[in-house]
Amino acid sequence: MVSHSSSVTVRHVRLLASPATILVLVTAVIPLVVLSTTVVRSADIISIWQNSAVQKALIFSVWQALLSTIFTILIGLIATWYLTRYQFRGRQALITLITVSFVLPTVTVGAAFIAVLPSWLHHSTFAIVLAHLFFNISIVVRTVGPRWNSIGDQLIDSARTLGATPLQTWRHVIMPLGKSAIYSSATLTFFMCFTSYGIITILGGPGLATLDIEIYRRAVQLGDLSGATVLAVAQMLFITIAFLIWSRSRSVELMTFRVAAVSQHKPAVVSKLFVGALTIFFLAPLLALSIASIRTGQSWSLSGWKVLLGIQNQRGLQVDIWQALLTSGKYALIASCIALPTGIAATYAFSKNGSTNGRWSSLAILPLSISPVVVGLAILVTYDFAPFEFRSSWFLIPVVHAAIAMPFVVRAALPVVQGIPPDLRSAAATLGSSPWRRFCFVEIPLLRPAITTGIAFSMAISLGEFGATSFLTRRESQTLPIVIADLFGKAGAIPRASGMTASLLLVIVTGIIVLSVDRKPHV
Amino acid sequence: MNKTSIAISTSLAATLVFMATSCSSETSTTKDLTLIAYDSFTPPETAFDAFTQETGIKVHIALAGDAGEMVAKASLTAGNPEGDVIWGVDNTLISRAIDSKIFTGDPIEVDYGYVCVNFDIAGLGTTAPPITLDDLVSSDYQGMLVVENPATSSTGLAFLLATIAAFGDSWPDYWQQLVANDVLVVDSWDEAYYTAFTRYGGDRPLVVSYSTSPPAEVIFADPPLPAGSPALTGVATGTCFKQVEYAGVLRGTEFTKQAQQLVEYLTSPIFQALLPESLFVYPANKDVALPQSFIDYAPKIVSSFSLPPEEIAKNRQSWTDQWSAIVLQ
Amino acid sequence: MSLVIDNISFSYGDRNILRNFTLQIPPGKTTAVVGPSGSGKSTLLRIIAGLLTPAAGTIVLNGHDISRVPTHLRSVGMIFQDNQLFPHLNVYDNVAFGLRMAKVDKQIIAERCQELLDLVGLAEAAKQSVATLSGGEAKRVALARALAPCPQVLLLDEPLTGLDSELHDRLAQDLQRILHATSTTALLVTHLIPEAEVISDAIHHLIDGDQSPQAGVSH
Repeated sequence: MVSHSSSVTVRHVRLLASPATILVLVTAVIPLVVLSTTVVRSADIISIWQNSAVQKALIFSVWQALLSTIFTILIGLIATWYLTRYQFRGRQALITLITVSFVLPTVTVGAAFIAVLPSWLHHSTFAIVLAHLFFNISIVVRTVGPRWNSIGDQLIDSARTLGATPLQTWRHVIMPLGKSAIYSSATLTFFMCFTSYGIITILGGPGLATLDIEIYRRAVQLGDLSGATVLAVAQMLFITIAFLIWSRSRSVELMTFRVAAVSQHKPAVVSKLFVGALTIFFLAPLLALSIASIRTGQSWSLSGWKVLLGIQNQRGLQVDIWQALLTSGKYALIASCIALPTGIAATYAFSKNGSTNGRWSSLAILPLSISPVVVGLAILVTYDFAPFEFRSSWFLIPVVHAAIAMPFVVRAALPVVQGIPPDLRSAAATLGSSPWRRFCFVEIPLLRPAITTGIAFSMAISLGEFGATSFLTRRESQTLPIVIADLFGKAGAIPRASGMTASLLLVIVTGIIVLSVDRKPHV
Repeated sequence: MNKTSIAISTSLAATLVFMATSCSSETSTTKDLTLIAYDSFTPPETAFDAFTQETGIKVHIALAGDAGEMVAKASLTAGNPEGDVIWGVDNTLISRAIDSKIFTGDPIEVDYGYVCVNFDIAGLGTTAPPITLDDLVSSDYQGMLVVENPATSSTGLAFLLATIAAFGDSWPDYWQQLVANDVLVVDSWDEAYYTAFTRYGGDRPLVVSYSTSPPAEVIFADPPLPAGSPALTGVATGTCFKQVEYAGVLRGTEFTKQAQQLVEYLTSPIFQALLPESLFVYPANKDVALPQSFIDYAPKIVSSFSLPPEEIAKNRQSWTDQWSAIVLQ
Repeated sequence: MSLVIDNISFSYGDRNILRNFTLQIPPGKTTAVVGPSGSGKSTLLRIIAGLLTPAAGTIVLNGHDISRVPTHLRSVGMIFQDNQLFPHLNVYDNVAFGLRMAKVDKQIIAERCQELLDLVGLAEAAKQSVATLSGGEAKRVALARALAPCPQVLLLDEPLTGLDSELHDRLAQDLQRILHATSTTALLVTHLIPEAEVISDAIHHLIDGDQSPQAGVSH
């Protein structure tokens, strides 16, 4: 490729990656370094690991993540297979449902699972695995799906004519063609489950604590900041290095938003049953949430809705849902305005010359790998001297949200950026357009799918983020998740119903945003 | 211009507008104070109007997580605090707070409450409700009690402390008996109350909650209960641990004098009268009359258990570890 | 190794694609079925391969009724119009695929693959990625692959369609030579009569699912 026609040169690469780098440094790396040097007592670096609660938490973290990943991959692959093969009514709706689930607020989904599951299942590894399946199956479908879309009926037919049994076809044709994507989605899923916080908080229980929860306990309940920081840094290092190693360098597997159905055949009964079961699985928690919002105690009532929306006044309850929605919306908008350009610039940085050195984009995952409570504390000690005195600034919250959302923006943008034929830019140049105009009128329109998906992801993640947000001090009104937590903390039928209603509202708002923004292009 | 450009420009414009509006509400003059409190601190909107009228100072509330998170952050930023006054450091955390030197001068008690075993009157049926801690281990109440994990729930911690205060060194034996009596442990109050408690569809008619939960049940009943209705839940008055909450001026604030005024306001009858039905606690100020709902439905706790805050801070971890060893097998 | 197609009927929805189609394929020879697009040629092949189930009729291969036998047990090889080479396997592994499925000994696989690659003139390309093959080369690999497990019948779906004319002629000659050399019983469908004439020993016409009287060409 002639250098003047490519839009990314080596010089540019460094420049393009810098907003992302700065974001990660500012929100994660620098604060952690400062916190470590401030509070860590060197003796704790070793001794913390001898604590039995810490050891148990570590083992459980790995165990539940492993179990969840295996389960999610298994069910996810079956689901992906059916979804990429057969066209059936409601297929697109199911894919959308699965996609939206990924960004739903963990705390509300956890509450929904509690509502659905029988009480003997409430605090079990099984419940945790199930909830993780709910969130992460989308990773499998969106990563493996596009790969399996390239397997048409005829490829399978040719294998059959060569004497391959169905099992052999799976082993020798279908799986190998999805191998890289399966591996990549397994890695990401494991990581998401390992650092899962909201779900474990709700569905975990006595004895079912992960490292993040133990970190929280140490920092907040026991006042052992030193130990908590040691654990948090160790977790971050482990995850980042593991991710770097395990991500095959050749391709960061892409998560696209469009998964087609490529087979001409009709679905068999088995696949219909499976898909039906899957749909029920995804709808059930949402249904449970809806039902809980119109029940007070043992009877049906709309009071939860009425009180929440301000239609009915309730003595003793002071909830301003509209203010909360406004605040949450504001954070979400700003977060996506930061995450989007940062993420897309980083994507260009990782896509030079049409190939992807995706490995380094794994570093974008850094902010996600640190316990939110430690991030909050670290920011507190770091940004309290001039001119960086923004530790209590409300702006920090959307910035942290942006840092969390960025890796997903990158993953969504990569396939789009890579799919832009380089000669298109050359063509535009020969037609007389300057680099800037080329960017505005050729590149950006072609980036539209990446932009819309990126915005949808960032906003949704910001809306539902609870851990770091609750830890950073908020100078104005509560955000939606905080309202929910507040309502759940009060005794009485009405706060309960209102809390469920607010949860449902959060899910609905998230869903609407994702659905309206992340649409299929009209191409 | 195509749709994408429009969308992007609109969002950018909206962002700028938002930022501008929030910035303007943030301009702090020398006459504004920041009150740091926990997330569930939701007094009525007009709660600080009287203060502003009298002193000309506006009060901004900064929500800092739950009580534990709030104190953790305050400890870390002692001397260079995020606000001027802090509300809601309870007796399980006050010792740590004082040791970290977060206050200027002494913290002052602003409210108190009791963590007690609540019972569901309908759920108990013909069984007589328990009154004391000893009652809870009798076979009459086998499989009826749900408690919270003291390692993860402040309510659970308070109950554990009650048993320690009541039984001294033989508190582990008491818990052995509770375990033998089929006690259920969950991680949070929310879960205990709304999932395990019979009042909300669970199967445990006894739950560790607050002595102000019964009036809350009545106030928040749906459909609303007529005046004079009998209580829906009750309290085992011999099982209560007293929780006290403190407020104080944060060390390092520029506005010590004004902060002191605010602290005084927080204990004044005007503000304290708002506490019972918004935070469901008892006002520390004895001159404040309790609302009718409290009089009718919150049992009077004559005697309760308590432990010195320093002792709590010192032994908290070893007590919870020991508890875990006994109960979570 | 004769193939008898007896009274096959197939409809898609309410469209009749094949109606009482009957054909006998003599062993060791290449037979062509010629017809315009949409006349049901590809459908015919797919039915013979077992990829589609006919509404009526039977397929008898060497005296055995294989109408109910699943595709992978039929020993019917097929070359698809766009080759359908496995993208994740190189040339050698593509050719070896059928033999590996049959769990043939590695040594024998190596010999057979070498033999076939020599036959189609691609011996040096064994380790090449299939993505780098030209149209003609890909077709040869597809041929080698289909022949490797010694199928009783080889089906070819429009083998020369889409190739440029120079390649056309050369490949047609090569196909004829290779099929003849290996004594393969082959059935070829195409809409190009000249192509059929070069490659096959007999031609049948298919118009709208019905078979016309044999036009009869032989070399």
